[in-house]
Amino acid sequence: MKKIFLGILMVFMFITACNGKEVSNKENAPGVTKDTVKIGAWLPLTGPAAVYGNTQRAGIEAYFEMLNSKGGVKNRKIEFKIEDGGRDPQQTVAAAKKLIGRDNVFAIVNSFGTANTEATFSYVLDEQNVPVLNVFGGLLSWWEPARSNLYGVMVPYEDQTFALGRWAAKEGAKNILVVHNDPAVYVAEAEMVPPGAKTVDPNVEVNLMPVKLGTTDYTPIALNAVNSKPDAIVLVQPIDEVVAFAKALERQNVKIPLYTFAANVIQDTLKLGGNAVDGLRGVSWTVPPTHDSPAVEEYREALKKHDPKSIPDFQSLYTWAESKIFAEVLNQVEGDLTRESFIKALENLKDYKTDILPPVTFSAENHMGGTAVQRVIVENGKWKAVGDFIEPTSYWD
Amino acid sequence: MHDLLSVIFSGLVSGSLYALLGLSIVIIFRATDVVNFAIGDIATIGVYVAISVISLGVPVVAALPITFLVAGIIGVGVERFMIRPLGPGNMFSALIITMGFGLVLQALIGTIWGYNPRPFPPIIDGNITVFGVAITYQKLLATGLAVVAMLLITALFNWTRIGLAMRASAEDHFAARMIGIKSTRVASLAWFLGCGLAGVTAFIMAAESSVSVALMAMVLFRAFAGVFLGGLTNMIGAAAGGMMIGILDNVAGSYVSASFRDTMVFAVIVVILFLRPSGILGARGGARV
Repeated sequence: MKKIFLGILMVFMFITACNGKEVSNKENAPGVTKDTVKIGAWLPLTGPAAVYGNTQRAGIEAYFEMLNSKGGVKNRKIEFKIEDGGRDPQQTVAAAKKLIGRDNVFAIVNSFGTANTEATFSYVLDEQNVPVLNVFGGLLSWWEPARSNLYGVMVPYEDQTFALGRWAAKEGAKNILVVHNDPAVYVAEAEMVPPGAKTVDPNVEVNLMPVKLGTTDYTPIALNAVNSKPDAIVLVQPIDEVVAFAKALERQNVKIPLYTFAANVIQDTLKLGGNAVDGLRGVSWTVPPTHDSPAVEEYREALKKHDPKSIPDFQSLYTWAESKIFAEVLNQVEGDLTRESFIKALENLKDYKTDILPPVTFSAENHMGGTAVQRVIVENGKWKAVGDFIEPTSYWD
Repeated sequence: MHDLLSVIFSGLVSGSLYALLGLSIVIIFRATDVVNFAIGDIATIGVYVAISVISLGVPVVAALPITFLVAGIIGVGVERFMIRPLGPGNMFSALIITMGFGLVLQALIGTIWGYNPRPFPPIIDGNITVFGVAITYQKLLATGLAVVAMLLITALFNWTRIGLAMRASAEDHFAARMIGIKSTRVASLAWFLGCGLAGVTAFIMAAESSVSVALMAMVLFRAFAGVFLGGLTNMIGAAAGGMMIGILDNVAGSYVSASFRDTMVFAVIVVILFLRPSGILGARGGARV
């Protein structure tokens, strides 16, 4: 009996000795070791939304590769896991469960999608208490009131369309037409154009024209739009429909100023729209990727190094800047890295400048860290910045 | 209603693409009794191949027959290796197989060419104003092609030996074989023609807008509507159905609501099919026993 007890004791001591190094490396947080921090995201890598997912992925990977090559943050390298969430709620919930349950990630950073991400909230935010930072998407209801573990910098589309209405009215439009798709999310965004326009001129006329999502033949819609004789048209639609509408207008030899939100402010709009989108105005979350500044130059170089075929784009620049915010928060964590200390550092982040996004500030009450957008316009086949960042719902000039 | 004529004309021109695709669907159905749901994706892959050859310096006009050939050859392959092994009379299995194959093709396109939409050069530049509405020459080309294809295919099916063989084979596979018709050859030809013609439709669609994995999704939806409206068994009916869908779509979009275009179009179709279940020009008859 004594021999058996001694044998078990020796085996136990041997196992403990073997694991000693790993035990000493671990800290009190999932996904964190002495050398690494494991984070994850769901992006649409296949399906129609992959056009966004793959571009965004390039920005994230380029940033973390550059960061890791410089030693990471506080000697910890970033291990970034991606799951394909499509834009499908069920697939995204499965992706979240893999990242948290199997990969044991510390946080979800730079994910994609509104409805699909919202489907994960009860599991990720409430059940698992995993911080979610910088989702590409979102609704006003995500931020008012602030929700535990959820933080972001993406100015909501409703605020953007408010700014577009104001911009069109400030440019002298008295009759604004809003062409929008029919799902509720587009309707809510389109309905913010009239109040934005009326901040400039209470008498401005704004009409909404709903169009079925997925419309390909825009000739009758363009004819209808022209018949209503608008001075400006705000397009609250996905990129392919914005381009189809712009081309239909161009065919009718009609030139009316067009405005659109940040999702369509990408390089593909120029590639697909050609001359038809010249003069298109938009609001963007970032400065243009062609911007002449050290911060954007650093992005362009790292992107080229990551994938020489990648073309600098608003979307990869955006996720690059988001990744930069994550790294900065990690850098500001005091003491052991835990989810609690990370949240504390996040809520203490004040006026952080990426020189790509507007300054970012979080607090316990305010989980929406970015509030400003950049106006841009297509000139000679390129997106150009118009002025500085503006607060969309304020009375900017 | 002052611009009704222009709206109808614009609808007719848009409808010609639905007519062309509808014809493709009917050619395959009439010859092999299979509704090919992968036809849009087969056509799309033909266009992506065209993009690749254009990038190598091949002129756009020369890429059109290449698209026809690629889509046609893929169609023949699908018939030979996926549909034929099922044997005759397995309409539903064939339908599911084509649906599944369409999804596989979409994934394949995404993997090879990526999911980003791509610009596509125009076949012919410029447009013409008819009844106050500017129509691109490309769309007029599509209309012309649809009319010519419709006439040629009608002639093929009604006045040529191979056309009659195709019809006989679809009507009764075994009886056709007993009188010496090589039904396998007939099926291959039908799939080649049908998918090739769909490739031409996709090519014109791409030149009008841009190319993406979902290039043909909405067109296929309307082409099917046109086919059922005109009659699944009638070439002229399918083409006319496509044109009617285009007109209804434009009229509904202009005078009712751009948001309820599909609702209006399909409401009209439901009423017509309720009154005439085989479609406007479809053959009336009992179920096959």
